[in-house]
Order: sequence, then structure tokens, then C-alpha cells
Amino acid sequence: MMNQKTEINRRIQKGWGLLALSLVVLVFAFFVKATPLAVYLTGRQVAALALVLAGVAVGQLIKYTLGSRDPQVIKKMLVNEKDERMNLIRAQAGYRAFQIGLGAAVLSLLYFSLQGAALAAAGLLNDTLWYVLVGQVLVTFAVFIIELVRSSNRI
Amino acid sequence: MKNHLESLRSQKGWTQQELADRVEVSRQTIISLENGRYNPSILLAFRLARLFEKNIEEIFEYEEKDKLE
Repeated sequence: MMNQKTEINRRIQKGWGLLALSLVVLVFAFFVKATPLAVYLTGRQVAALALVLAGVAVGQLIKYTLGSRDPQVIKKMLVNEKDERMNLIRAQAGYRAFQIGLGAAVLSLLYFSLQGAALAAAGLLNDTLWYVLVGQVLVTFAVFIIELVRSSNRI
Repeated sequence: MKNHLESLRSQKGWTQQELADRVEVSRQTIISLENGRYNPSILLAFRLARLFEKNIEEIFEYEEKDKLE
């Protein structure tokens, strides 16, 4: 019980740490223009990153702060996270998603190596690249979810 | 791998959730174990054996066909 409480407290601390980091990133967003990084990043992009970090941090804090009030909820949360069958399912799904994601990345790399110059000449390189990257993310995520469901039914 | 988890659990009068709580796994894991769809890790097998005061071999039976899995 004590270990569970300690574990939850550790995660709450991590949540606060992440929230602090998001504030630092947000402050940096105001000064990015004055740094050499301005070539690669805009203040809005850095601010967006800060908001994503803050969102994750707040989510963690709400989840573990509310959970820490009820020992049963803590126990269930930790058991579900450490459950060996579920970890096996996640690992199998992750491995399959990694295989497909890597395969898609290699194919895309081959495609852009061979066709990049022609796409650039036609002014289509950026758009095509963006759609291919989005496709890779979506396909990898979809494979992960499908494999999670399939393995959960099988194991 | 065959196992006698369901009968051992019934003898103790425990529900699947109670057994799951005692060995700190999810109820779904107990269901999969009892159905023979999932083989436990050696650590979970030891925890179950300790809980039922049996040897691992008295709960889980290795079968020749397991070699192929």
C-alpha cells in the first residue's frame, strides 16, 4: 500500500515537473525570435509545444491527484498498468506497429529519393511530403490499435 | 499448457476478481489463464503456487505440444 502511494506521489511530482517545463518552454516562445533558432522555429510553434506539454501535465495531475484519494482506484490503476498479460499485448502490438511504421518510412524514403527532384520541380514536394508523413503516423497508430484489439481477443 | 486454476480457485471459494487482487493482476488475466489462452510468467506462476500452497507443477501441466508454441 505504501509502495503504491509512493509510486502515485512520484507520478504527481513528474506531472508538476512537466508543467514547470511547459512554462519554461512557453517563456522561451516569447524570446525565440531573438535566438539563432528563429531560422527553424516560430514563437507560435514553440508556444504550441508548450501547450501540448501543459495538457499532458494537467492530464497526469488530474488522473493521479483524483486517483490518490481512493486507495482502491490507485490499486486498480497500478495493477492494470503492470498487468503482465496486458504488457505482453502492448509489446506485441507495439512491435507490429514498429515493423509497419519502419517499412512505410523506408518505402517513403526510397520514393522521395527517386522522385523528390521531380516533385520539387513541380512545386509538389512539400505537400506530398506532408501527406506521406501524416499517412505514416495514421497507419502506424491504426496498426497499433488493431493489434491491441486482436491480441486482447486472442490471448 | 493445462492448468487447474479454476478448480483450485473454486475450492477456496474465491471469485476471479478476488484471485486477481491476491496476485495483483487484472481479472482478464485470470480469465485468460483459466481458459488456457495465456501462459503466466514464471513470477506469476510462483505467486499462484505460493497462494495455493502447491508446487508449480501441481497447478500447471507442461504438455508436449507446448514445445511447438
